[in-house]
Amino acid sequence: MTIAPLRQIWLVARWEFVHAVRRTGFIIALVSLPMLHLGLASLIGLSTRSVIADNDAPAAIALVDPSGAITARAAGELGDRVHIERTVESARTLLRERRIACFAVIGTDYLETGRIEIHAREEGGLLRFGARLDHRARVARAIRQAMLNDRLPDTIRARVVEPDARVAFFTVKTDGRSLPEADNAILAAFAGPLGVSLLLGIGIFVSGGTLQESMSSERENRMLEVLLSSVPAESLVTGKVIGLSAAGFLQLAFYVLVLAATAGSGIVLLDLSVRFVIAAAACFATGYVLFSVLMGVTGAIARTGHESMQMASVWMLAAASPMMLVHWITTDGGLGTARWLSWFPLTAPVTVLLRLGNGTIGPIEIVSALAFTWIFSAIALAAGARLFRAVVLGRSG
Amino acid sequence: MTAPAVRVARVTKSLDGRRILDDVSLELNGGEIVGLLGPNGAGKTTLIRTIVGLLEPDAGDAIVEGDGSRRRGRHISYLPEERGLYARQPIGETLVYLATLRGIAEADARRAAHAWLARMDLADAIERHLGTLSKGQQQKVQFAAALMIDAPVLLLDEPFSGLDPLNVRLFAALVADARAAGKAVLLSAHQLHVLEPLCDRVAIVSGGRVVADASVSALRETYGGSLEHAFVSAVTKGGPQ
Repeated sequence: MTIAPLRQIWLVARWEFVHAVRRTGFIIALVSLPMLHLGLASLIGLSTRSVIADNDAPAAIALVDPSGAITARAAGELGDRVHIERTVESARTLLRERRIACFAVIGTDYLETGRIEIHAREEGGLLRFGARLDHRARVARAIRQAMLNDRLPDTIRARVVEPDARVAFFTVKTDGRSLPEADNAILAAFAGPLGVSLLLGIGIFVSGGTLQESMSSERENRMLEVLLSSVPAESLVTGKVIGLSAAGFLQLAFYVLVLAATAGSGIVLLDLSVRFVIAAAACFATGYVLFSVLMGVTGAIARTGHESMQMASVWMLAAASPMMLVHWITTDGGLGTARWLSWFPLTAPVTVLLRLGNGTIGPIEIVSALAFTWIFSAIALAAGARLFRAVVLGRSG
Repeated sequence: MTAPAVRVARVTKSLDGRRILDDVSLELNGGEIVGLLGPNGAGKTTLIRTIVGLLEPDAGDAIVEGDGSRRRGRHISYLPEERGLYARQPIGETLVYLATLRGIAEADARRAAHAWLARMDLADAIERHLGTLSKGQQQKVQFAAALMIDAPVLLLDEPFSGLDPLNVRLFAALVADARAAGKAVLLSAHQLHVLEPLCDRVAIVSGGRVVADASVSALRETYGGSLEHAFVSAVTKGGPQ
């Protein structure tokens, strides 16, 4: 009786997929990962709302200037966002009534020393430092406005008070051209690759665990000899990697759907280009396949689960290493290193992703580097299958 | 004259630097049961694994009629010494999976699984998980997995170990049926009282070499006394006294 290797791979992959997705652990992970995400997102949302509520309610501030040296000429002309108070007590009352965010007491020797006391509520937790900076900036702006009142034409005074009211950023390219760069483009260049890299990390973590567990359970069930008498080691390992990776991918896809549903507007704000989305998807697929192969092969050849975990940590470290060098490899000085890392299969997927963000990689290099990683994955799979067979069957006599 | 179903020709195999098989030759014909005897560590399992194709010989060859040189085992039903099937999957599904891996159509595999489990008196276990069965019942399921492949060569490594007398009798009857169906059967075992009436021929392996290969009656005649006596003599003294 003969059976084509591809059919055997399909049968093994189908078996592994079906039985992986029916496991209680898989179902728990499938549901708990998005639930955990939603829970965290809700907590972050609630805390952000609470911070915003704290910061938003009082848009105004108050200045207390006992000597009148600063505010005398500006009283009543600083708009409704700046209250001029005569006493500290009246300002304190406004603060307690949440009508102002803070009040500043201007020292009588302010012009000589610049001494000011800023009083604010004990709110904001760890974010209080940010609130302090905000209070300081608002007080400074109000003082500038007050000091210049009636001394300069309105337009000039407005610019002195707020010289950077409207700023547009431009990036000077290597050919000397200046191109406009919006804030959301900078955010997309960083957040896009970071998000896909994180997703890849989660994928490797989820699928890697399943692959390793399956391989070691096969050994515990003493199934390997039965299977290897029917299926070549190459087909068995390939089928397992395909089936279990597909199960892991299903888990990840469900997670991404929940993520997209809950953070859809945030993703749209990133303004990702079609080119980036296609290239990032290719990087993800390449990295996912590569690390699935490595995790599967590691699980297959390791003697124990502990040994398997130790060996797998090397792959995890290699996958994450470009993130550790992100500052270096995304600057001009690190371009050479980035190129090398793009051609080293273990670091290629994440490095290419990061380089996509800062636009230092062209289509030909992307395709070549990823193709090389695919070839490496195929070689690793074949070599791993041979090693697996030798390790499993070469131990006894 | 028909070609032997299995021909092992001067096979040598070392594992971990230790020679396990040393110039072993053996033939196995259709409609014949050959018992493989030998003390523990003699190389019986390595010989069977080499015939299945799980191990590559260092020298010599093990040829199974109909199999290509690159992939052995396609014409073999195999019961390994190391027992085990998926403990947490339904037995029927596991049997069907293993049969389809050998090229049997899913519907045929399902029918065969029902039939063989019924024959093993385990018809009601098809939906159960292997882990819920006793050790002997698990062994019967594994035997069913090997037999339902319906290959012309049947290699059984220690099929009777751990079985109660009733199941030993059942297994022996099934092996005899396989012979009657024209299959070539090679089985390793230590239960000489079972092998003596069952086998057409016995090969005794010791120290990685075949020290005797003859019919049971010829062995008894050569060594004098029972099969057990012939076995002890062949292994300890290397030949007839």
